[in-house]
Amino acid sequence: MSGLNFSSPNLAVVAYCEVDFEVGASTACNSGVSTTMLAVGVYQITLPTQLSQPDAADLIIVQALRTPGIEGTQGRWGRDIVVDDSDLFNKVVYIWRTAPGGIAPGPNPTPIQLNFKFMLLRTTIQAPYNLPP
Amino acid sequence: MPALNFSAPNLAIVAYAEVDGATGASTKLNSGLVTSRVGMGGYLVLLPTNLNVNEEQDLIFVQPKSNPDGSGVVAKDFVIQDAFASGKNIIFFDGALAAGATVPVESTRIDSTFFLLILRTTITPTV
Repeated sequence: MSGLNFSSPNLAVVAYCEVDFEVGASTACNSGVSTTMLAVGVYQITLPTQLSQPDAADLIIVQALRTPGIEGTQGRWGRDIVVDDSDLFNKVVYIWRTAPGGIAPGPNPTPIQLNFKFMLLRTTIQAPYNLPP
Repeated sequence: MPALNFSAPNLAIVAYAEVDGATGASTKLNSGLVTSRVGMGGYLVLLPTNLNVNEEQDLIFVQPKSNPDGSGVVAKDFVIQDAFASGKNIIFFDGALAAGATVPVESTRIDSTFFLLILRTTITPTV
């Protein structure tokens, strides 16, 4: 097994951005992707044509952010995030509020608009690689 | 403080994978890990011997994702257990409160497909 040497270029940065909760815009930090809000709590990140990624090659990390304007200084809700990467160009992020904290109890979980950071990496090695038996 | 220059080798990629929620297998994206499902919502990731990383040095990211058949787009929580150098556990829970509950109670485990990324520091801890 050739193994992974530390710091070997096995993952490459494809795209990243910080998405605003209101309309899904990304103006603060954006590597060159288009972002939009499809519905409450549903955001789409569209990759440039030359950076399209099959779901077998990409690795996506999403991090929810405290969202000024709708949350207090320390945040207000638990939140869950799921990514759908099945499309080559459009990666979809779903966000839910998972605890009623600070507001009247309501349906749970509930889709919610929140700011978040998005990072898409991709493998640079051929898959499958050293798969388990 | 010596400062951190961008691209300084302070974090290295150790391993990554996309793990299937139903089976625990990792056949799409796998840098060389053995992955398995250990009961409902539980997954064990075994690192190659030469890539064992102890808990003081690793930095792990998990990202829940939809299942290959398009299902699994539901709220879910997870926790990582990284105490062992050779294996890391990830456990998923249903993100919904029990019916009628207004505060979190012990959650139900739920299967989930997910991304896993393990990094490690390359500098010596100072504390």
